[in-house]
Amino acid sequence: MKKQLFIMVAVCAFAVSGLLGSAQAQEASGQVVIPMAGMDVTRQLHPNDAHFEIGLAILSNVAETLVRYSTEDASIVPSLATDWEVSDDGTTITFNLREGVTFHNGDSFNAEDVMASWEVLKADEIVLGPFSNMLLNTNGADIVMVDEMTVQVVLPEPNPGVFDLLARGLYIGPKGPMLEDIDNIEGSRLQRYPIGTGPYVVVEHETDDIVLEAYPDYWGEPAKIQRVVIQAQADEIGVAAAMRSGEGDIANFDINTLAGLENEPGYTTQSAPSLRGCTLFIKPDFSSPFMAERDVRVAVAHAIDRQNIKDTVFGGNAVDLAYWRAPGLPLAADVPPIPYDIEFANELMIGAGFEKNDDGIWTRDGEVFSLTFANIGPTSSTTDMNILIADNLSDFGIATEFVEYPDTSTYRSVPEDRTEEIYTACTGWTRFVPLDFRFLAVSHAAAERYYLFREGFIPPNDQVELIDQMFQTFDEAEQMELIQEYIEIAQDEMAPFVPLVAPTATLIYKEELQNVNLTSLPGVTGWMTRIAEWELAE
Amino acid sequence: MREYAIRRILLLFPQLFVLSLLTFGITRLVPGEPGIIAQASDAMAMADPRLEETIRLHLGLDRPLYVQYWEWLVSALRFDFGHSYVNLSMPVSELLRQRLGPTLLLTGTALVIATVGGTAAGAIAARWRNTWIDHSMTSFTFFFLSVPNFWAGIIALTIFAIWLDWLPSSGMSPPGEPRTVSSVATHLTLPASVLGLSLMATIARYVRSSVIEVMSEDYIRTARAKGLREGVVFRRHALRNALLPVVTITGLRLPILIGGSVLIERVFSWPGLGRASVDAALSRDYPVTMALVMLVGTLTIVGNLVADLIYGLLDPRIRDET
Amino acid sequence: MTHSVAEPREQTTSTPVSPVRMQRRSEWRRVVNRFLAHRLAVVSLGVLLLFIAIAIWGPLVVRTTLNTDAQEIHAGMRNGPPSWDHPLGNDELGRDLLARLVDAVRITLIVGLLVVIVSNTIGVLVGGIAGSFGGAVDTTLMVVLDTLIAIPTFYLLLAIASYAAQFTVTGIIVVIALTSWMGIARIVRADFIALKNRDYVLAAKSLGATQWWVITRQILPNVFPTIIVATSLSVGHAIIIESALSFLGLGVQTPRASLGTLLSRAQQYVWTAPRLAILPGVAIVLIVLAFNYIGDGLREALDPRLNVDR
Repeated sequence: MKKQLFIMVAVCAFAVSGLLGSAQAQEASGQVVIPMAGMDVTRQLHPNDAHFEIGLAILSNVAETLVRYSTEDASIVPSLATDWEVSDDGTTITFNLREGVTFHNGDSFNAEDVMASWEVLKADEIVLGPFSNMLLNTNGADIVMVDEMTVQVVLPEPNPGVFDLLARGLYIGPKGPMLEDIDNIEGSRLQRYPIGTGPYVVVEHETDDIVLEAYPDYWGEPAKIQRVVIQAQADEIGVAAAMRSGEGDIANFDINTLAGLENEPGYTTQSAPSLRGCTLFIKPDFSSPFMAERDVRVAVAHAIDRQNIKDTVFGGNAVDLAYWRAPGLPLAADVPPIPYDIEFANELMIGAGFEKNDDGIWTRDGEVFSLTFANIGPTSSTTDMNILIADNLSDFGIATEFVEYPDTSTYRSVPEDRTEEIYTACTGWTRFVPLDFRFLAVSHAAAERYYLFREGFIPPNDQVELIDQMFQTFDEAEQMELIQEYIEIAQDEMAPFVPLVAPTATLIYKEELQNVNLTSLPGVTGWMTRIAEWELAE
Repeated sequence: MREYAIRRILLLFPQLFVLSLLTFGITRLVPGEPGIIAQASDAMAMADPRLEETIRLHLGLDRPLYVQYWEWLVSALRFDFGHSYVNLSMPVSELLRQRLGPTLLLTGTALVIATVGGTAAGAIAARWRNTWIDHSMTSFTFFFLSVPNFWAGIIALTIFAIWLDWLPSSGMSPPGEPRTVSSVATHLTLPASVLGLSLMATIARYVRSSVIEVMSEDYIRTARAKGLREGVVFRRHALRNALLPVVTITGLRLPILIGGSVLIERVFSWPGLGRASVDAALSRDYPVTMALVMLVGTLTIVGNLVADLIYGLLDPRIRDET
Repeated sequence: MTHSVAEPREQTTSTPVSPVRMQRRSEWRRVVNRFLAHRLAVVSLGVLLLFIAIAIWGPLVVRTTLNTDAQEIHAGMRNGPPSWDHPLGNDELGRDLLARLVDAVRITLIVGLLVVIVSNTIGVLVGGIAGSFGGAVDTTLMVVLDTLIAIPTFYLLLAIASYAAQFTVTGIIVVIALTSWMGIARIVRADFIALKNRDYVLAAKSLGATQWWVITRQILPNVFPTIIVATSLSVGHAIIIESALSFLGLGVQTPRASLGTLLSRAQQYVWTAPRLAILPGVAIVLIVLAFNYIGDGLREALDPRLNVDR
């Protein structure tokens, strides 16, 4: 199973904004080695077809988007767009593009490249590109060219998540090569050697390792490390071995794999909360008729010991994910965290007419309460969480059973026959929020930003205002209605499963490596650092 | 010999046919919805049934099985195995081409280590039969036959790459550097030795008993009677004659050696077919798994053919057959 | 992956196989004596019996003395060090390691033994059919068999695993058995063909004995020692294959665990909590080693003929 949660080194932010060229070009030097697992399934680096987090992590060093996340506080900062203006109704955003930018192949950047990249994105029918690309595409948004240095993003309705989508997707490639392969994106040379405007160029990508070198003509502050080698490792143990033996310089790691290394001299660790929740497979099936009852679900929710999960599975490096909410909702709309409270859970069960049978299992009218868990296979945090939750629930009095890896449709977090209803309610705000939680996570970027801000992980920034601004386009009654709907869904439909925990991302690296900034990134990609900022001490 | 060779070569065709049926059959008939759909859904966190249908049609999974088989076979014969489901940008044949070399290098080296080491160990044990050398050799061979090689790999990696830091832990060359003879050789040492261990043990045991058997033959007694020194008798007569069956045994054990490389490649992040195969299995990427079974199967079948023909050339009983 | 250890040894005894069925008592005694002469095989038998005892009564003993089982999670005991309550410490989720090991030994042994029962049944059937019918049946079966034997079956296993992504224990047993019956089939076929032309079989046939009678009364009993030896040798092989699959995460699944599954979890902790990685590995080695030595002893005891050919 892919370690999708941890393998990402998203390099999405550009701290330097308008001050281009001001940096005294200091000669880049040295080399860092980043051992990474899971790369064998990730050889696609095409600007609009990069797969999985690793592909994006590498691509984001090479190609750039209109707006980016800052490594300081995960706020949206200018990148290939220098500034923008949101229309009064919130549906049109006009971007002014940066002048004097050249692609790695020497082409200079202008609005036509943005349009070409958008064309490629729209032409990719199988939509296996980055999430946000697809969401941007299916959301009914469009991009139009105003003049050579201006483009407009036109939305069917206001969407506070649009900046996140633009920051994560729509990497801009040069018009010529992008359009040349538009009918054959899969076979494009850009898959191996993407061309962008970013601080690094892919110089070697024939077989195993991927080698990046600093791009000397980068428009912003140039990279300080000349060569970056992404070393393909078969699995997490390979990453651990490479770090242990000193061959690797920096790795993003599962807290368990390298546990112990952080205490050794010569290594530094840095953590940041990742708000991508580990809710993926914690999906007891809804075929149990009891799960249709609100009280039962709430009872189940209270029978899960989240603190133990955080301590055991993530070694304490996890935060409560109790704050899921609809994108753009103000802070007042928090869903309260669910405590571990067996007594309360027992009361609810008894209130619902259950009693325990001789085996200590909740029973009603002779029917035993049982739940099945999906076996998601090889080592992963989610498997561990499943085991812990199943243990909690069987202590609580539910017969639990692990079943084979299911057809994904059986194990959706939302009951099949109610999807339409929930879909309608969920999408009241953003329209594109699909049914599954994982999608909710994608679309919740904006909300997560609030969470980060409120929990003190990031300082106040424009985003709060921007989201507020978007939110104000609804009148107060509509707002309250949306909030109420969402809270009901979150507390009721998804009660046992929504508020779990999320791991913090952790980077471990040799002390020679400096200026490594690690920041939480709202949404699926979790967190980010920016290779171009790293420095090697003498 | 000629008749033997022709018969042996003709056998290749039914074997390859069986292999292709097997390969295709496994990936299509084993219960479980073709993984691609789940895979794509996972990858995309996509729960939209329409997407599943699109993918299904795109991959031609809606056509009858025999049509799928025939098309797959025809393409396979042209070394075209389609595209990986997971890594759409890479034709499977390209992946195979990249990964074949490292695997051949790894298994080839392991084979050499095993043959040389096994022959030496077996001969020494037989030469000093029933001494402590023999006994400890026998114990070691039994031990190596009983250790799962992935576990031995992890232990060896910990000892030699991490504690002692003598050898690199993974890959084929230092990160980002081109593969040079010396760098590949250092990277190869650990995985090839671990991989070769159990075959070495097997060969050692065969050589030992084969030598002991030969030593009791009449012509050895004759040689001894002629007054030749024991060492000479041993080297010139016994060992040479004892080694013939080892060729066959080594040929027969080849599939097991190659199978074993899967785990070793995984443990040492060796960029070969085995690592690709585990990745493909874990991500249910069956164009790749099918292609790998087909390729590796064909290679070993052909390898066996070659071994048999060589054996036929060496063995007078077959060679002189008319 | 290992190599089965069926291979020639020097002739240690000159006892020929009796041409007709064994004269039971005296032959039996000789077999036992020969086996007892193989010291390591006897020691191994002891070790194996110990493991079997652990597999049968271990979980019960753990429950009564330590008051825990393989699944119980002791909150806050993640990677806990050995203590009175948990003699071998706790694993990464706080489960008792001793209880986990005991349970894993049970599953590993069950899988190993059942695989061999299934694969040997297939092997004896196929080998027997090919050997006794001969002709086109034999040729066809042999082509299939030769093909299967010539390809690295681990790739085949992985291909199957990539489909039925998560096996049940039964699934694993069937799949490993389906890819490991070829050796025994080949041996049985060879024996059938050899025995079929023995004088006493030909004589029985000429006296009007049915094919069935010949096979069950005259051939099978004489093939039996071969089967026994091959069986004990292939249990070790099956266990290693299973542990390899489980190690890759394609074998025995959560919440059950074989020794291989434990190893797959433990590889993450090989530097921080080495006992999690070392103990299951040692257990596998001991079990496989025991089976291999026993097989070796049995071969010398039961079927001296095996010591010279093959």
